[in-house]
Amino acid sequence: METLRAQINALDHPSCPESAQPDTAPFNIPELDDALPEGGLARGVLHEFVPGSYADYPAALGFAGCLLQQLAGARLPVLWCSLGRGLDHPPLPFPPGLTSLGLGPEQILHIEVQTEKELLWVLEEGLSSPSCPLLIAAISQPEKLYDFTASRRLSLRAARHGGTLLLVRHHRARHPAHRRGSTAAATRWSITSRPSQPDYFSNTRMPGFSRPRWQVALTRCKRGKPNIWQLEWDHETLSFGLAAPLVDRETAIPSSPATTASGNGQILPIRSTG
Amino acid sequence: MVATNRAAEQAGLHDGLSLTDARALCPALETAVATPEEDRQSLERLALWCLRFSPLITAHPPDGLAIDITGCAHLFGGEKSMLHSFSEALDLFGLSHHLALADTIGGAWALARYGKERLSIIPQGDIRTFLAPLPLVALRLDPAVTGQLKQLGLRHIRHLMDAPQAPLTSRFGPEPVRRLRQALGGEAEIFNPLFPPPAYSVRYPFEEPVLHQSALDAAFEKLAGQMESLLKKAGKGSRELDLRIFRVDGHVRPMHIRTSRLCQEASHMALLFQESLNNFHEDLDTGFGLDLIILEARHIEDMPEEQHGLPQETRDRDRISSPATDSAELAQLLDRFGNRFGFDRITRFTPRESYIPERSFQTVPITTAEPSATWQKDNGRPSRPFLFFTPPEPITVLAEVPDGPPLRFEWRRRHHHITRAEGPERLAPEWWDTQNSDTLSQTRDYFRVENMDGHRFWLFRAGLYDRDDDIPRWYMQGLFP
Repeated sequence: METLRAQINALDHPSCPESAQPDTAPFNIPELDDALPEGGLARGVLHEFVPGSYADYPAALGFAGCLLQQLAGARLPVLWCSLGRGLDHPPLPFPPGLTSLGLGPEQILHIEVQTEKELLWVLEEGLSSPSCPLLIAAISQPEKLYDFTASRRLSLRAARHGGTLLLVRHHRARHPAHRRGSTAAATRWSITSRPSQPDYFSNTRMPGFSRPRWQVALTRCKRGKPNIWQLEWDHETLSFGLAAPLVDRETAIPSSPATTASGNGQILPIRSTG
Repeated sequence: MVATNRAAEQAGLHDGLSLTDARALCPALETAVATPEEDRQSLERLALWCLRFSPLITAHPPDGLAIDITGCAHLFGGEKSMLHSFSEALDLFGLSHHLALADTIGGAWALARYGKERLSIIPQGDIRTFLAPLPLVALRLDPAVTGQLKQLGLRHIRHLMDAPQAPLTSRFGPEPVRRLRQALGGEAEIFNPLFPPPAYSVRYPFEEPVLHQSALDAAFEKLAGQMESLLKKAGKGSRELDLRIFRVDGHVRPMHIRTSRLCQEASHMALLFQESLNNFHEDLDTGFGLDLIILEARHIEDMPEEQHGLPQETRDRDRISSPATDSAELAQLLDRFGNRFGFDRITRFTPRESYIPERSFQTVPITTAEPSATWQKDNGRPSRPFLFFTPPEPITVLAEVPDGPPLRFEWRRRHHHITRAEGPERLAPEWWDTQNSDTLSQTRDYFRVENMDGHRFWLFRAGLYDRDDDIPRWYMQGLFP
């Protein structure tokens, strides 16, 4: 039985090229790492990120970007593949915004394709090349071709050459009605923005915010323990942290602008501009 | 009437006749509408086919082709047999033709059109005797000038050769003398080829026309190998390669690739052409078979010395210490993408020296040189968004005047209630740049805001409320993760 298992394992995971890099990028959060079978985000596989809603697309892309930083460090080239123009969101990240995630803009090589077919072709070719170990792609429109077969092909290529693919999917992939069956991704994460920790300053009435906070749900992971966490990204240490389980107190929302008063009782001038 | 065939000519028709006259002369006349544009295109197609004889070809519309066969004749067993095989091929296409081979372009032009024989070769140095009896029209002169010369009794080239040149020039301009000297080889004439000549070219003629792709692949492999040894011997690399596949019936399928890195290895060429060859196989239409393929290298540069053939584990170890060792493989990968999608679709960021967010970066194709500027270090502070809208999108905002943060805003038909805000961060326009559009020439106050659901935005107000000539407007510029 044991030998059979070993054989199946060998068939399932074709010989990965032996590399000095660790096979995982740990989150360094015990709760999270324990839920993943490899004790961290595995290399050589396909990871999927699904925004919780339409407006959570930047959050999902940002979370994937943070993981990319954990996998790439500051020097590995990253192939960024995006689908077309004229969509709701720009196809490319903003270079100065990349630096706050710890990624260098010069690491990014960007390929713009027009159709999902071309996107899948580029991803397969990129995963087949040993020169580009990291790929990130965003399918920012409802998926038509990406299904179990396509994801299985990508996973096999990734396993053979040790490349890692982070795929940000369309938010509709969450809804069972639009789901085209399961995919062969190693992990699937669902990301939703959460209100961040308020920073109170004495000279402003509105608090500021510091670290981005997301609700990250591990919705699919083979041999893992799916769960939900509140994560924050620290741009200074370039690491994830668990948000305090009890969130902050309710902040005062100005009920009506006309009646909003400052400390000394004067009516504030407020104007609507469009 | 623009053109006639031989039967029509025998019936007494000629160019320039009106259709009614022609019908009167020959009631059985078949006519078709003249399409000069299509004629020109098919002439160019024929020129493309002629690439099999020499890389230097040019079309002389409406009905002529010129081929520079310097150094090519020996491939076809000498000038005579080359001319004959050319003529046979044209016969098979059903084209009537006159071929002439001469030392000069002008000489060949004249003999092909006004010579007595269908195939004529002028031995070197004999051009004078062959040209002398031809009519003056053969000199490619303006018809008006030819007519005037004719009135003077100068009917043949012989007459012009004997005439003193100075009075001719003073009366008719430099043209007649220049054309004559060009035809006789006394003056250089520029040969303007349709395709720039390749630096290296290898060819593979099939013994028999082939119909199967396996034979084509094998031949391509052989050519790539030859090209590699040619380039290696010269220590050169190529940035542009052309592959032409000739069909027996005259159709030519050209394939063109470019590379971002100098290409020398046959394996690299095979990788780059694989895509086009696969496409070719998909709509494989070999007709009556393929009979020749030619591989040409253009844009040649000296190849920098690189160390090849290191054992695999050494390269793997190097890869971890320096990503530069991967650049060759990465370049090959990007070449494949570039040849499929176009090189302008593969980009990277380069920094620009500006504080205006729109102008702080540029996306350039990877084929451009490495940038010299460096990125402005922001100490990793997340003050810049992850996604960025260019141009910024106008929004409706409810905000405290004159310079408070927004309280509510509407963007893409959704209302957002703001619970966290930071700002303003003021970015003033560059004072030396005065010719920009309104939003760029106004002072901007940027705010980072977060709504109740935790979505984070980067907004700005262009213009100030207390400045008289400003009309403040609000824009959505970016989204934070």
